[in-house]
Amino acid sequence: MKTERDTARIVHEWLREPAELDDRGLSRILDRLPDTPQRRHRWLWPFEWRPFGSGATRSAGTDEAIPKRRYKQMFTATNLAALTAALALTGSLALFAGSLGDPEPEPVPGNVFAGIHNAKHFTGRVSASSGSGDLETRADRTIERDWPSTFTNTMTDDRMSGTGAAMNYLEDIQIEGGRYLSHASHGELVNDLGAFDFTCTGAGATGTVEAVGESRAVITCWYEGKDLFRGMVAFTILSSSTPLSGVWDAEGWIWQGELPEIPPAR
Amino acid sequence: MDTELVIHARNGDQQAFAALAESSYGRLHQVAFRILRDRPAAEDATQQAVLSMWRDLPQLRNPERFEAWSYRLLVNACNSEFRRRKRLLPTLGDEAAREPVAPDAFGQLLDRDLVERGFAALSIDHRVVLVLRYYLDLPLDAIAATLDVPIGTVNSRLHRALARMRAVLEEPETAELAEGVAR
Repeated sequence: MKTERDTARIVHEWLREPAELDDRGLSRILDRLPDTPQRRHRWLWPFEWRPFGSGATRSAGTDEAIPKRRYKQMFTATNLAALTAALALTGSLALFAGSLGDPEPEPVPGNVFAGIHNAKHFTGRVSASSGSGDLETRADRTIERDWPSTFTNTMTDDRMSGTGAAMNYLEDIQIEGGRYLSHASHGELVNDLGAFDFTCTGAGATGTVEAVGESRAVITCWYEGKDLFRGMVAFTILSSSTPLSGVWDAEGWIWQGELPEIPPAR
Repeated sequence: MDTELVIHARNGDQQAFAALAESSYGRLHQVAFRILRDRPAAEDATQQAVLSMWRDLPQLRNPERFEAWSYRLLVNACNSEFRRRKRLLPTLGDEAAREPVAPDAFGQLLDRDLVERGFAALSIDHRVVLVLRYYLDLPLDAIAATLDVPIGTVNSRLHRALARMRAVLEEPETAELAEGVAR
């Protein structure tokens, strides 16, 4: 029987085996330097970015149907998936600079919060599905961590179309006369224009304790693409047409810009 | 590492950055390949990391930490590439296992295919800690700093990664079946 040390030695020897790789790709990167601005201001984003799967302890049987206990305590699958779609929708905002067919890259604007007046409107549909995460039940709320979702967007703006996946954090809180949902998420969207990461936060609500009927979710997200696109989006997810379709109408606004620098703490 | 080059590149000197990149690219590419076990993915991740190095270099306060910082960017790029290609190519990481390999001393001691398969079944987090620890020979505190996680987390990931590798090496069919169920 192998010990951990034996295994470590095997892994060590295996990793040390030589690998011939083609390093000519460096020249392509160096050719892009003149068109790639350096980032000289950065918001100290409060979210701690975590790779997918890190620290996650999935509940068993992720392919199981949602248990009845959870179904009663949480939003309906419709509303939850609507929120997932909202989270997914934020990730569908792809490149800004250079993605509109302009021959020259757009200059990166300044403060993103000032750039909102240049926001562009979009509408469309989102199709989303979700698995299950780690569920924690408290007296007045239910928390679900590491809740995965996948989605497909079809939007009036091609930049916002594509497929992707996200990992979500949700709190489902009962309030008088209804339910309130707060969330955070991180994911990635891929389309013909590129691929980028997004980080979102937002809230949704429904006017009934049973969590049926129409709901609204308002989401804001920050995202970055491989081609250095960065900006924000704010949008609203509208209720679904049927509870089983997993398709939701949405509309929102997107704009680009840099996050402002926070002065150092004193 | 020439800290003067880092300082000049940080101030926007593209020639200085080109010199930095030329001295770093091969090293980063080798690490990326060992994490992703896929040549196109490793190339994409390395290129993305180098581009990020240029873009984010003004935010590197201590030039002497350039090498450790470059590994962090590479790990982030490998994470992104791994997730992206897993959706498109579910067998990412298996290509290396299927490449024909001539018999050699390693193969005489252990079935290389088993090791490849065991590694391919690992999560990206586990692959990263194994490569940083057993390819780069980084101490645990350096790995923790690179990944921006506590040392305890690094220890835990290493232990689990080695345990999973050991399970495949000792009982390949059982271990891989368990992995398939867990996923």
